[in-house]
Amino acid sequence: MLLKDYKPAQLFDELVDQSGTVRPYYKAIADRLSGLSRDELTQKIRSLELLFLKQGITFTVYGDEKGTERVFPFDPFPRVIPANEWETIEAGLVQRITALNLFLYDVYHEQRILKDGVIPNEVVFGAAHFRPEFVGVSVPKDAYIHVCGTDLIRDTDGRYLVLEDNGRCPSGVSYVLENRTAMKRVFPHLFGGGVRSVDTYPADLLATLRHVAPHENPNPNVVLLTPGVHNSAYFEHSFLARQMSIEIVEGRDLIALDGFVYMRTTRGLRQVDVIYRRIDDDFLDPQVFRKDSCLGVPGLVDAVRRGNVALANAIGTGVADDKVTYAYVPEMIRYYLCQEPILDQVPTYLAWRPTDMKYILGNLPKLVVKAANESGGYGMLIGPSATKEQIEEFRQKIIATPRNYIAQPVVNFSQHPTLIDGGLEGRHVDLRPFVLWGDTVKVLPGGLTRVALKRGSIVVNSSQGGGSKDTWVLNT
Amino acid sequence: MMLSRVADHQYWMSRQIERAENLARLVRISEEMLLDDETLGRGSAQEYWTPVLQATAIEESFRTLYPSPKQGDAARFLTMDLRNPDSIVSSIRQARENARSVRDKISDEMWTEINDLNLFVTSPEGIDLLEISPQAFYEKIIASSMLFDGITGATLTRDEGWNFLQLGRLLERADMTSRFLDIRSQSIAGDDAEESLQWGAVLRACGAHAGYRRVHGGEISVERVVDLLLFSNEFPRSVRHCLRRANEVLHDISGTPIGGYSNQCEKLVGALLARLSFSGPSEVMAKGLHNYIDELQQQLNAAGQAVFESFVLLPSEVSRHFPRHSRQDNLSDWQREQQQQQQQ
Amino acid sequence: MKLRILHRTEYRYALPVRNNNNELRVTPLDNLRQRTILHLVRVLPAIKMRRYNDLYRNNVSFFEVEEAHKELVIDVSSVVETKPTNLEDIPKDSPLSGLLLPEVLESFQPYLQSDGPVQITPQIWRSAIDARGDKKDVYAVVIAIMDFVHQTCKYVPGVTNVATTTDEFFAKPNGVCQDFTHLMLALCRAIGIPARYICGYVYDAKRGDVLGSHASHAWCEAWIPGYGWLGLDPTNKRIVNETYVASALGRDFRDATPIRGSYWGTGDREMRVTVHVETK
Repeated sequence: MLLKDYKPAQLFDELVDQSGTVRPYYKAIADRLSGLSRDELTQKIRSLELLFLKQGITFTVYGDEKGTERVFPFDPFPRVIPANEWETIEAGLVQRITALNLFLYDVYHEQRILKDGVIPNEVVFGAAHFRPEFVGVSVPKDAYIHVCGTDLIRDTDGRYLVLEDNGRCPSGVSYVLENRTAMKRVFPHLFGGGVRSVDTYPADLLATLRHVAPHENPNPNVVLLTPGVHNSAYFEHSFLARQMSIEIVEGRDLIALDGFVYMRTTRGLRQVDVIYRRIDDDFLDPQVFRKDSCLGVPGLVDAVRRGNVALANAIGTGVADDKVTYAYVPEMIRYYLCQEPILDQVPTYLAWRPTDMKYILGNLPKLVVKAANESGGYGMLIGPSATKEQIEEFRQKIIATPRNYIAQPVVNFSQHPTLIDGGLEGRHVDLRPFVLWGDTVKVLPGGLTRVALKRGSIVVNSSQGGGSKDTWVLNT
Repeated sequence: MMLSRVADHQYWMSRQIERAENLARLVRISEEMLLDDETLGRGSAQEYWTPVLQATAIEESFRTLYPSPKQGDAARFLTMDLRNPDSIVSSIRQARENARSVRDKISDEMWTEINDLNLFVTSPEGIDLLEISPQAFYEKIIASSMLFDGITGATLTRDEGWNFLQLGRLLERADMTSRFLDIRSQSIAGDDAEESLQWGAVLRACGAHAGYRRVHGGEISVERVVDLLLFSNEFPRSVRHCLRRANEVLHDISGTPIGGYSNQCEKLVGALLARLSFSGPSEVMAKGLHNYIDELQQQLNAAGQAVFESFVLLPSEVSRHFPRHSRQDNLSDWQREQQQQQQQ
Repeated sequence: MKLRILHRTEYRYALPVRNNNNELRVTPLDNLRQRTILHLVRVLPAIKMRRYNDLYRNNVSFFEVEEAHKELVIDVSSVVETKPTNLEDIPKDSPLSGLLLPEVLESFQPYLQSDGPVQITPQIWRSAIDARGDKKDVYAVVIAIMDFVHQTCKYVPGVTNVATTTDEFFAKPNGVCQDFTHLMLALCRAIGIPARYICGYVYDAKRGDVLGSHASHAWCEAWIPGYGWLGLDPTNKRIVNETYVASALGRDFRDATPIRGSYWGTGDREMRVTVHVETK
């Protein structure tokens, strides 16, 4: 009954094609959902929300002095991806993380890609997260990005485009797992079989982390380093630690002595081999990075340099997910792999290139401007919906620090039917699959589908009115 | 083996819940007594609260924040005021923060209980309840604390973490029972009837009146109350009982047989327990109740500090200055920095 | 069947080497039998990769590490979807005489030569005639030749090398898949059946059942008129099915060497190759 009233988007609609027919791979789920009455559905959503609140599946909103915790809104209409589409996405993601890891190896070693003039020096040396002090330092298994969360969107033709790579501490995977658990509990009848499981992620992540244990230690002590309970992603940190049965530690639990890292336990010190850190480079070690930080572990970086402890992700990966570097990822793929990128990306104008700068300044109302080193939807200008003042503010900023800004045409994200006030309405969605770089490269089938709950909005971040959906990758 | 910080959080989580419960007991009984006193038309309300504030060691901050206190201020300061780090609501909030830090180490049911309690005390419903029926408000806190204890017993694996939870609760309970005694230790000796009324209130605050009657009959005397609350081996809120259990828990943690010690904490608790086991009310009376309790509390504090030094600090760090426990105010820098962390 | 192939080659040099040139023929072929879903060649130290297609349409990756280095890692990962071989599709009555048509002779000229490691000696020719017997159809003959090779030769690693020729091998038929394949090529060609060398990978479901699954494997393809190239694995006496993934082809090993390289430097070299083929 709900589907009858659904008005598909004029852009790419995930559920129905241009002729208004439900796409074949959505048919099963659409039929099952249609079998539910409005009351049944409302009641089920309520029980879902209660479940999340009770389990404390929450995030903290920044800038909110009270540190309010909120439930990440969940939409019960799952996003469906057919097997053949997923095959391409998966291949594209594997290709991309391979190129990014080779790029990181290269910029922290011989820097051939710079010497060959494929990427201008300024791109790397001007990136805020480039760590020149790590040039020449080897990391276990030459792995830099162990966990990558790549944001994908679909354009008007339904083409998947890479919007950005998150190669520092990508978050959100706990929602993928929790969403699935909740869906199974509340809508067991929706699963007709044929949906690929996401259950092995914690085990795969642990294997990825153990893989980089220094000195080939067969039984390494792996810990998760969190900034602490006040961090917005703390729920996820504790969730993953629990799923992997590893300790969740804060900086003050660790101590570095003579080039080794230990954790403080009630029975004295115990050596730590691998740190899955969910904390930015800046806060890792006050001896090296931010001297004023009280979060880090003095001496940690020295232990990393000496190869006695492995960090996942490695230090300095931020140079690869910088938004200026992003513009060069296709070149990296061509350079290191001699292949064409499987996944396209959004055309990007770099403010520090004079011609691009001119274009950007002349077309601000049509463009999305992003700060090069920010993530989470912060420091962004969406031209078409910005006020004159906001545009002027960004104009000044861009002129002042061109290296810090990039601009992209507005890409209209695809829309997906979403339950709004008891009815179905189209809302913009993106997709963040998670890629693990270990002994083999594994892509979690699906990923986090984020949905902008405000009509017309394309900001899907949890902190700014976004919600999420379960993502189903079909077996066939 | 567990992370020292986790042990510390577990220890403080249960200590703070127990503290909230005991404060609720204390304020509830005090308000009840005050009503009686007012109907009798004796003494001012402020004088009445002074020993309570003294016993809970917050008199000074109260006087600073409330230079000319009005009726109800003292109870509010003890109950709702977040500026008082040892108020009921502050204690619950801190307990909940500690629980959140060890969310993956406690059961879902424990988390739900403590989270719900924290939501309740600051909710409009909670504040309304305190206004309309303070007794019901305090009873709810007491019941919730006991429920938390029960849930812990029924859902948590008996591992080292469980031991630290027990340790926190037992040391806090011993400490608070001794404070209850202290409230009346200096009260101006009135007539026998009033004294027995006041000691009766102490017994009720500790939930000990039934136990007292069974052991000592209906007549209430200082010596017998002291005997029950300090020296009883059977009454679960007596200082001796709490220390005996704490001693067992400590030996369970270290694996050292009872009778010896392997760390400073075991040594202090063992010695204190021995002292209580081999003395009685007559020694207390000889020394003066207040002096005796003062000394006892110093030793309990030392034991609490020793928990921190034995299990949380490294041997090399013990000599350095470390805060006994991070309160909310000095937490905020830390908190801000944690939040500064970008989310990707 | 979806197969994932991981082929890792690690070189460690006792002393630094320079100008390390390498040519890789490790990209799965795209044909009716197999479809490549994913293919990546990752080289450490990170280096510019180049590619070209050779005479046999093999996709060749090549690179050069100029600066001094002591370690070189080549990681190849592929995901390939393969189709089963339907034996009923193979004509069982395609006469040997069909191979004598001028257009066949012309098109497959390179695959009929006695050249390089594939030497057609009188002994080999004699054996081919014997294996053929009075069979008239190509399919029956190639099966008989495969059976003959499998029966005659013994799988013994370490006794032959990359340069071993069929006459050397046939004198004492102990060797590995490369030798088995070269011999079969010689036998086929001796009686006019076009045959080519295939390098690739094979999946061993039972682990230990299939020879050659722990490294790159080699087998031969024979031309059957009315059908096309049929893969035959003399080492395992099998018709190539969906567990096989071809990554290079040519006249013989020289055209289809998976990794070939040269460098400036002295000192010891240690090489470690691991191949994992698994179902996905």
